[in-house]
Amino acid sequence: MNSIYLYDGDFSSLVSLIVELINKDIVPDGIRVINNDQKGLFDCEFKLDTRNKNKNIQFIKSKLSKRIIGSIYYAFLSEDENIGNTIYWFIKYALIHKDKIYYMRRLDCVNRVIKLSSYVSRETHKLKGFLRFKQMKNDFLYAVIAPTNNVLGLLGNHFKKRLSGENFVIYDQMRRIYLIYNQINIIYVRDDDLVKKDIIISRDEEFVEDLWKSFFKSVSIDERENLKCQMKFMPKKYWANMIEMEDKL
Amino acid sequence: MTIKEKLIILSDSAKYDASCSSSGSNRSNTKGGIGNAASCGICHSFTSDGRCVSLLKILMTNCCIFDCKYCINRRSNNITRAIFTPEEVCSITINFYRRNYIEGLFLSSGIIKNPDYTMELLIKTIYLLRNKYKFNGYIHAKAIPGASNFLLKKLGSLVDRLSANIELPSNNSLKLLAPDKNTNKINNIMRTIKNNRSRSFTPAGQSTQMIIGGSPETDLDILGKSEFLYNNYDLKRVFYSAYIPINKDKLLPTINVPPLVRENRLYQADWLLRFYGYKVDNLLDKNNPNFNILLDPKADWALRHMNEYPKEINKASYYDLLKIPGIGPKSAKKIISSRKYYNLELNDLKKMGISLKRAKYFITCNGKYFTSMNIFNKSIIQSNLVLEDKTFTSSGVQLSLFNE
Repeated sequence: MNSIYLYDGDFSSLVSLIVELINKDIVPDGIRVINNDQKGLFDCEFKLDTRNKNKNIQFIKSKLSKRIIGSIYYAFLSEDENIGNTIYWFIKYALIHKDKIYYMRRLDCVNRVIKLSSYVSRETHKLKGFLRFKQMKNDFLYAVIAPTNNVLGLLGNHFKKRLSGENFVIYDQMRRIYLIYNQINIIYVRDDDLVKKDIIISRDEEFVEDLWKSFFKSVSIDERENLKCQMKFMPKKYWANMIEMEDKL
Repeated sequence: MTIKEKLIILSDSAKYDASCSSSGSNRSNTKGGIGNAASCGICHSFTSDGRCVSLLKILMTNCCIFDCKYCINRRSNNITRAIFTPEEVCSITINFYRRNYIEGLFLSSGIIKNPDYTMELLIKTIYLLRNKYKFNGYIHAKAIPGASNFLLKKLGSLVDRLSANIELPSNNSLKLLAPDKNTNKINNIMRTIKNNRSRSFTPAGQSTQMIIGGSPETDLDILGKSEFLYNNYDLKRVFYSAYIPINKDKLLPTINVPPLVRENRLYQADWLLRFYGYKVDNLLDKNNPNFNILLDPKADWALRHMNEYPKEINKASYYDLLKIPGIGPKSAKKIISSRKYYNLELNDLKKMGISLKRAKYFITCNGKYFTSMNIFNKSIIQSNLVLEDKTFTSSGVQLSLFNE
């Protein structure tokens, strides 16, 4: 039988579960989120006691550097299907080697965590630029994104600093989750739980969008046209939600 | 004239300025304000020529009393002229910024009436944006040559980056093609910026731009000028802008296609000066004053110094690692840290994400070459590198150079 350990999908629950497993000297065959129909014929699923969650998180915070915890968190946001196991092994080695672990890329878990976390951070950086807000009727800003990784929260923190005096909503189409900022804090609402009657584009919006499109067109230098280069820096998967590109799809 | 018509005219005339970077400043937001600057810079879009759009790049006006031969806005050109009001610039900036179209404003201007008047117009606009609109995003402004030092300092205290374009690589060319400009005035701006720079005065420093191929200078002249500017004025960047034939003038060269490959080689060499410890006279000399168009300057240098290679990955110093084509500062640092723990094999380099496409010809790992040492031969490596060079393969425009 394969021993599969389950957690609720939350990052702190995963870390806590891994600490429990390491303490109990258990090597899991798999670590997965509850309720995802991946159960195999020979899988035996376990849930662990979560009473020690706070203690476990404190333990990790005291043993591992901010850099390591950051890498783990970013890698987690990639939603890679084996991320639970990868992080299990990464933490196990990191507890021994501390920050030296970054130079041990012969270990697969290290290589994976570094690759996935930098992928997440690259996509976050791209979307900090490519995300487009629209002005809504009730004076809030609204954006739609469709990221490969779960970067919604990271983007929320970025715009919270930058547009602290605005109300804004970012909708993640892939995960069907709304991030809502009301000039004080950020909350998340699932698609099914939200009444969407307020999502109406303001009437002036077309005027500003038209100004932007005109600007975008006029700053291009025709003599230097290089569409390949454009596509390399701004992959097509983001175009659908960028007003200057949507008609080029 | 509508605001849209103005925007089209005044961004069209601003587009030839290559700089669009928004990095180097970490200005934070204030209470009740809007915006902050990200020190790494953020690109918000890419135009069809593959250049990043980070800032709202516009001119205050394209009216100009100067008559620089190469410039679209020169006095003698018969074009539609427009001028923004300060409020208009602020309103577009804020409206674009709130929607996350841009990282900030890049405000330049033709010279209207006189340099001081023009500079005051820029100051008025940016003051309004910073104080009335409480804008804390990135602002890059052009300093107007010939304006007073008092105004220059005032502008510098409002913006993240200030720049003055050197325009041409030599004084002679500047006299010939931009008779109203003067090298001393441009140098004075650069010196003032350098001497006053602080957290509250152009925190992101200064940059400049040169036109490439509009005048007869060699790459050695151009890069020599850059090296001088980096050493003397703490410039963050020198931008190179391939000459685009906009105006007809007997003093200007007649070309059909802008020299984009040459521009690219200069950027590559510029990188070598700033981050790789190369000096101009390592790369070029009087007998060899221009870069090889077919190869990037580092690979070209390596092929001319084959006796220094192959370099052993597990032993080479940091600067020796940097001399390996395909290996940059990031990779070199990774190699140095990793080899403390074990001897690196070719596969370890791959895992670190180091591209071996070009590097493999110039290295050994634990004494082993990637294939038979028979390959380690200048002409074989050269032909492989030329075939892989991206400057040629990535651009249709480039290839047509050979078809003509």
